[in-house]
Amino acid sequence: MGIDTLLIAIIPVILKGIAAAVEMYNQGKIDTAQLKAQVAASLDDGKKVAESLLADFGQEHIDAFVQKLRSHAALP
Amino acid sequence: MKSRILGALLIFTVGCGASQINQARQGVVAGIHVFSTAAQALQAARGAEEQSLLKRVDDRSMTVDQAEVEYKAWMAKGQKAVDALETLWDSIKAGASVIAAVDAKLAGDLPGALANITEALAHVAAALADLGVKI
Repeated sequence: MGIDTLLIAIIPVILKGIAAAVEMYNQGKIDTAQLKAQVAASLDDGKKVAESLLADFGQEHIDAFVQKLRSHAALP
Repeated sequence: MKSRILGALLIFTVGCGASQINQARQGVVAGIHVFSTAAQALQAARGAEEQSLLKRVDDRSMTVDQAEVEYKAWMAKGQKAVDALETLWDSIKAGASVIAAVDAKLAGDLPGALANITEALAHVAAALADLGVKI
């Protein structure tokens, strides 16, 4: 499943999560702080999907690729 | 053809007659789409850059040292794009919080939230353009 497909599936879930939190707030079941926390949690669920695709641009990856370059250069 | 980022920016600037709260909802969804598309494009671009450098080292048109310097410079730009994407997500989160607050009839600065998402989108666009990545 591609990321677009995943997000098309997940965006309504995020928006439903937010709407559900607002509904609970309006019914007095949660307070303002809980409302904000639930909205943030709904978005974090979506981010986990997209973040898994974010390339690692850290030093560890750079070092690994430079090592790969050196191995290639050493090939006859 | 319009890029996805331009499309998202249009949602903010035109609004198509939607109410401000609906415009904000559309903006958050557009921002999520841009985030995911840009993340995917960035990963693909890094892979292409690595393949290109390996090929140039293989065919001896570039030394390993030259490739290393070029790769590190590319990755530094890539890190800026990742940072811009992180900022975009933070602004999307903040925007969604404001929407929830307004829905709950609490005070919320919708124009401010939209402005932050718009600015974050512009930073992502600039960082990707610097890498020659189009989405």
